[in-house]
Amino acid sequence: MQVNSAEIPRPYQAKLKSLQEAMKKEGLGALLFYSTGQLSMLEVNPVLWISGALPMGKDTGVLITAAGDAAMVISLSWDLGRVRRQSWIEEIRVADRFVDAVQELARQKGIKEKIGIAGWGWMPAAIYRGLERALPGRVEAADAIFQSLARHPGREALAALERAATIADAGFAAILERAKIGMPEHELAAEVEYAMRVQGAEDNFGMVTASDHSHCTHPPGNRKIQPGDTIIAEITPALGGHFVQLCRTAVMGAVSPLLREKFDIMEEAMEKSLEQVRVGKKVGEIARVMNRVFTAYGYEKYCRPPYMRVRGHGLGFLSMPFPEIVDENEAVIEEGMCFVVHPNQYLPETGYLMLGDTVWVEANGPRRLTQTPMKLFAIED
Amino acid sequence: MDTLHTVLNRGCSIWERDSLSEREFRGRLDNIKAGMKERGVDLLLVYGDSWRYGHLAFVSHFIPKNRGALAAIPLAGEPALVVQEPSRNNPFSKTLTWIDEVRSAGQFAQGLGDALKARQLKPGRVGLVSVEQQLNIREWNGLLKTLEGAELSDLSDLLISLRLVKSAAEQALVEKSAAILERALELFRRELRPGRKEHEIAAAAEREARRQGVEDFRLMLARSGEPDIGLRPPGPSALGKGELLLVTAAASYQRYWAEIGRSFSLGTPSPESSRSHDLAKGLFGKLKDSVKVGSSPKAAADFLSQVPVAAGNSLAAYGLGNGIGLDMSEAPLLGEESAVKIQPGMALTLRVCFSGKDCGSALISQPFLVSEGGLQSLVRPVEDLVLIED
Repeated sequence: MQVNSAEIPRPYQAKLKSLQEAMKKEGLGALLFYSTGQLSMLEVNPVLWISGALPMGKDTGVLITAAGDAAMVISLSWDLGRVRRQSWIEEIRVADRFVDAVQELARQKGIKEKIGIAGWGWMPAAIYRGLERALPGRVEAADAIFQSLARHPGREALAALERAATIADAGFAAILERAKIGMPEHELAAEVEYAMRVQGAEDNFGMVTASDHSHCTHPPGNRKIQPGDTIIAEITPALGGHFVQLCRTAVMGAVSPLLREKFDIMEEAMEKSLEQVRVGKKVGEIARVMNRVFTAYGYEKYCRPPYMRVRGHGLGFLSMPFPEIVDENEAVIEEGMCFVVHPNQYLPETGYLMLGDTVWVEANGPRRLTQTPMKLFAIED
Repeated sequence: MDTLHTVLNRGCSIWERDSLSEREFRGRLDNIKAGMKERGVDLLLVYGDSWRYGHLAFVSHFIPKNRGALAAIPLAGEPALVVQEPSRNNPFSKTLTWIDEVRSAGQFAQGLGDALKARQLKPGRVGLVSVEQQLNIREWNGLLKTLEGAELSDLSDLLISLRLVKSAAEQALVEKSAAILERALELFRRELRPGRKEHEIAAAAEREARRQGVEDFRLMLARSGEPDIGLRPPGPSALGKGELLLVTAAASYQRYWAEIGRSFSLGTPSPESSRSHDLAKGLFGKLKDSVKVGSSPKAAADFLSQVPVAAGNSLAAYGLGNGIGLDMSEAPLLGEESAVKIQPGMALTLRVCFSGKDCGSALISQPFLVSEGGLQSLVRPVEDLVLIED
């Protein structure tokens, strides 16, 4: 069904226009945006990006033809109403057999050329091999096309990002308010989750760990919080398909001089790396500067695997400027990019410590989205 | 039933050895190896990701956090687990599984190759479970290279059959998850009143479940005020007086899920709501009667022919129920053709759910254990419309 383009919300009009240009350039007859039901914070979700609806169920796809015609295939018939409400796409089909549905769509829409797959990197082998059999020689990976277009969340996303940042602050505040000696880790994590969910967080890539010497951050266990424990928190609420990440460290009781000294290094690394967040600079420089700080204090070995490698990353679902902040990332920082910078670091004397913030890149530098002070916190029981 | 997936399995993540001992897993491994031998397979690969990990958890107890993991089970010798995680997470990953050899790898082909090399194993016939169906095409192509020359065959049916009947330990865990859900839904009921936002009430139920140690919690709802929209995640809208609310919640404890669905009326229900719920209650009774030891799962759908068409279509879409355990929805699927018969020891969710403009709305679902004597509810049965007083 050809949609009247004037009825399509403006952000999607722009996406369609860019996609049509890309298809023309690449000689594609259509693009198939695909997602399983597995969601990842570290990827742009192709279906959400093009349709406005988060996928639920085993296979979801959106076919955009070179002419700008759009059709969606979902797997759960009872989910049709939700998808209709969230998406601008009018033609939505329910199909249990995804490959057959795509083959039929391609036939009905008279697509003779190749079909590029956006979301190929996540496509299960069985689905891709099925498409290859159904449309021999006519399917190919096209992740690069949409990933290139999804580098920025867009200024219209700023309100949702700011709200998500406020929610992340509330999540960390819950740790400061609720953490108690004897409380199991998972109960503290439940309080963090509640503080954010009650304010409307739609999801959370969140890990809260309390230990006298952590090696990494991970989902909580049932260990009870002890005096002197270091609590590390990676808090990442989602709102409107956008994520904001906050990484912080708190101590149960007084901060020891040793921990104070080591956390000063974290703060220095954070401060110096944020100075590298400038339009036109290379992403890798953020990591290199961070690593130089730790190296200067004798921790070079701990800047490499199995200890550390990634110094921040893009936050997915609706945009992803680049996957990882690592030394070798040659991508150039652009205005309007949004990503998290975190000098999270394992140090042999203290264990794993966390500090990190999500930044929005403005013309004159980074703007931190959260308000939680960039410091080490002490919690008095 | 399907729900919106989360980006991270972030609840209490431990292996509770008192609930599931290594002996339990050794017993499963023996049964799996017997099946492999019977089919002439010398290596079995079982994949799971953070979304669907039932088969993987059955063999390993491991739960992928946000990516995936691959269990490699040779016919002779010990299994290995390849986890897609940074190597610094390896000590934590080891706490979640009984398998001693846990390899952190960026790519499964590399991890599997290393595990095979350590065993000097060049498999001739490899059985696959959830690998081609779930593993992405890039990783799949890598695995094919690692397994070059081997004959591949799908062995999903082997694990499905081994998982149909739950052990005493598994039954206890489904029951525990159900008990946690009951408490969470009781809290949901207490928080429910007109003016409150959907996500506020859902958050309270979720907190209660997470406090009790669940790994994951899901809640979806549907409102009579929006009959075109089925069950969905909670949003920011406030609830209104006189509304009917369908709520389904699911939680997993030690990898084992339970699901409960109830209907709530905010104030006196309308005659239409009462009629719909009376219909649902009657149908739930028929559904329970149809699920008997020795019967076919297909028989559960027999009553659909007597149901008005719109309600019948909606019931079939949501599903009449399914096995529950390591997956929220697993075999047997009630109402569908199957060679499997209902057997004692199965854990089942029975579900009557319909919603829409043309059929009204109602939801009743509960977990049951199948025993020789019939269905035993794992929760206190709540089949009536739950009235929230003004």
